[in-house]
Amino acid sequence: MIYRVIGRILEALGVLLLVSFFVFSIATLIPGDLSLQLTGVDGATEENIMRVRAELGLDRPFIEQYLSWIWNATQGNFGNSPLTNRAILGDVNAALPVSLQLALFGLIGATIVGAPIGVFAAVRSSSRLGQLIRTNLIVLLSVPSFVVGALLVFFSSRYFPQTYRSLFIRISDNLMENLKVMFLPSLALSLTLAGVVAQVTRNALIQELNQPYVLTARAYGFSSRKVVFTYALRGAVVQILTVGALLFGSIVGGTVITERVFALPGIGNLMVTAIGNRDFNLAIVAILYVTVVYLILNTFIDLAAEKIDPRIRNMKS
Amino acid sequence: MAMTNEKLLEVNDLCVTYRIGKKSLEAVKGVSFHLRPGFCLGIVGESGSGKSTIAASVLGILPRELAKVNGEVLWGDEDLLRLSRARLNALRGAEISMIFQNPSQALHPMYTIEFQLEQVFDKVSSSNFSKGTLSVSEAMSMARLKCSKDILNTYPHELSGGMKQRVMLAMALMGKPQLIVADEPTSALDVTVQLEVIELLRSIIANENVSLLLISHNLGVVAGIADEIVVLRNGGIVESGTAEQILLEPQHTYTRELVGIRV
Amino acid sequence: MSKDLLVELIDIEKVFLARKNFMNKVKPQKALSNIDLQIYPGETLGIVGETGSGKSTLGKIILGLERPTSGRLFIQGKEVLTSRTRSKIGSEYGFQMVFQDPAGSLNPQLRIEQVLAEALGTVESSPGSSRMVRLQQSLEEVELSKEFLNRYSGQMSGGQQQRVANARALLTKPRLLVLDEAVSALDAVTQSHLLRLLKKLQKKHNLTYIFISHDLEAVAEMSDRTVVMYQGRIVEQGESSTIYHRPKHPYTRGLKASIPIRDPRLAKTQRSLMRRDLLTNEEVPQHACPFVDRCPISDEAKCITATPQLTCVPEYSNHKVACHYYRDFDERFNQIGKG
Repeated sequence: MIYRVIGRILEALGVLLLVSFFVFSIATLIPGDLSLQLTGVDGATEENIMRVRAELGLDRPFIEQYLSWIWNATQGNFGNSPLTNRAILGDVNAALPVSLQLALFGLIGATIVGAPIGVFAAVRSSSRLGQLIRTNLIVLLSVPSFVVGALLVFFSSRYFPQTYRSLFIRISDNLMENLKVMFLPSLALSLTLAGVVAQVTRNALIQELNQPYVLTARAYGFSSRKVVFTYALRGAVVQILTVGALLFGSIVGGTVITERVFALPGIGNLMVTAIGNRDFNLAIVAILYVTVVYLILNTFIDLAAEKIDPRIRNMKS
Repeated sequence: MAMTNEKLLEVNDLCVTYRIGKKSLEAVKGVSFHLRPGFCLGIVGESGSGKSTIAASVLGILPRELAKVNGEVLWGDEDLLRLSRARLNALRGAEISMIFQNPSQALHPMYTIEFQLEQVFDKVSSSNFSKGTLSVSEAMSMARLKCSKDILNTYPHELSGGMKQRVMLAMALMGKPQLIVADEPTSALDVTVQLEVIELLRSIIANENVSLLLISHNLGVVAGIADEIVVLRNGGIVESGTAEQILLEPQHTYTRELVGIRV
Repeated sequence: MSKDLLVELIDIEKVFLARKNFMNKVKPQKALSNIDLQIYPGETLGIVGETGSGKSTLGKIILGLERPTSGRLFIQGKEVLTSRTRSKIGSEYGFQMVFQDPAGSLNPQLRIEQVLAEALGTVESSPGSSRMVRLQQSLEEVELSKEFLNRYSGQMSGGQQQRVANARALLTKPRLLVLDEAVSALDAVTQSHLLRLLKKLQKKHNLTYIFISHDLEAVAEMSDRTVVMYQGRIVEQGESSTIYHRPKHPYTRGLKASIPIRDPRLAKTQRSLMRRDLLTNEEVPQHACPFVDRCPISDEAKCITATPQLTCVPEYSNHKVACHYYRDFDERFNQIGKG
């Protein structure tokens, strides 16, 4: 077991290294850097730019910059963002919980809405209602999140002003207010993702319902409920979990749009803003945080899958 | 509930047609046979002859949207084809049980043997029949399995084919059924294990007064257990008679072909 | 070792490792243990066994498709380094294999002509027309008309597909052919036809066959010598007729007793020779006879503590059995065995 854990950690470090290298490379390829931001439009003389660049160390060769960043990183020193002059770690640490919370609530909401629809669609797949659901799911799937978000903001601010909160309150500051703030964005995300959850649930469940061991259950006269929930659902859960975990990861890193529409200071927002400003020191840390989230999720999926499906434990890797 | 009829199961003019899209396929064309208590009827035929469809029809597990079934399958004075879902479910496992060909697929891969056996036990215990059930350990003993943790706490993929089939047999016996429908019960097993299972089925029929509807393409297996045999070809019966008649003095040319060369 | 031998295996062992699971328990599977085998040119060696016997693994090791974990392998007197993967065994030593699943071994996207040509391609490239002639001849040999060259495998019956598989194996003019359950998936009539055909081809081309099957009767018919395997070990070996008519090892006896009988009067009294205890899932201990939990004459004293080695049976030449009590089988069976 020890070997396994060590192996995983080494793997993770390798991934992080790769990602950091990749981001660094992209950073050098993208035109423009912080020097322009710092000098401002007026002060953008040749001398000033060169001076700022030298200050920031942006004129050193790529490898040197990268290695010195790595060196600092291993000591936990990520420095300050030249733009904000605040510690990078502090900003990122503050942003991550926001995204995690959004992802959690969004996913839970999506499951509450989507999973029952998926189960229903699978069980009734041959009936007309089932077919109807299948086609409508595709519609649900195609509505972009910002449309849902924007619509929600519009309608809530007009007709249900109590639900709309523009100022973000941290969970550590005031739980109730935080929940009120998170309500609409979570709802937006849930509605967007419910379609995906429903689709995956439906497909996985249909596959399971066609398995021979489910037929055995029917042959022994088990009730429909038992057949679906005890015998069929278990096999489907691995697939659903996998998709769910991946969704979680993509929300944490990717719902910039939802964060922007609802003005949430999440990590997606932070990342995109930083990149837009060419503040790569900040961006790279944010990206790495998201990578770590994915790595943890991956491990979680593997462990959960093994627990649920015992055949996986004995398979050759 | 004692059967006053001589016939336990009576199939009259069973017809099954599969509808796949626009096409329809007649899998079973007017088949009739019956089974007496404590008796084994073997249905032999090649693949595609419709024998598995007949087995599935008795238990009513054909997919309703795909298959159209006509005829009668009489269990006492009830027609299994026209029973309510609730009544059919009550009979399954308790009065009529089924064993499938591939025990690796018929058992749920993610639950332990104990769990799966107990599920069936709970179900048959709650059915309305006062004749009682076997406990899990009694059923396992009857299938010649030791009721020990090293079997109960394992998952199906950790057991050999022969053991899995015995687990299925234990499952089938728990409700003290009057009829067991066995669809190619030994086809996936090694030949030495096959003989052990044949012997087991023989003794169960004799000692527990259970009837067996045995579907197989393997004549050796049928020879070892069946009292009477029905030969199926393309959904219809070409010949039927006692085991001796069919296997030693076949009349129909198709039967002679089937029987003629070494198994 | 004699130069007469085509292949010799000495103390071959093959272990498959399962993945380390959460508790770091590695569950190794011993597929083959202590295998000593000699294969003479021109003979048919039968290997009979059921699931888990290791017979297929053995066939693959002979061919080089699997690497043994330990042991030595000699081909025509020269040692073959088992540490190196042998990818082109066919061309190197002239060994070929035919598998059980006729449809699976033929690429369904290709015409038979292409399927056969592929096999030729790995050995040599011959000019167009003479190659076509070779392909046609190969089909004729397996009694298929040359129009089959234009068909796809999906348009043929199982028997025809298996003939093509055989034709393909023979195209490269091999010296040794491993037939791993090559006829098992076919119906009885086709089986006998194909076996007869294989025998004919063997004589014609002076081939060596390794005939692997679970069917004792088929093996006894086809082979000169038979090797009986159980759980990765050879439990009995000798002349096929002796093995079939006078089996010594309790497992071989059990195998023979399980051959399906068509006569219902006899079939209804057919009894398995195996032990009648309640089955458990316990593993047989390492240093025991692998057959101990099913054997009708096994005891706690010797059979659990010492794995029997292959010893010569004095009455017959070249007949070996790995059993502590085979000499007293009848006596012990009457005492202990009968359930």
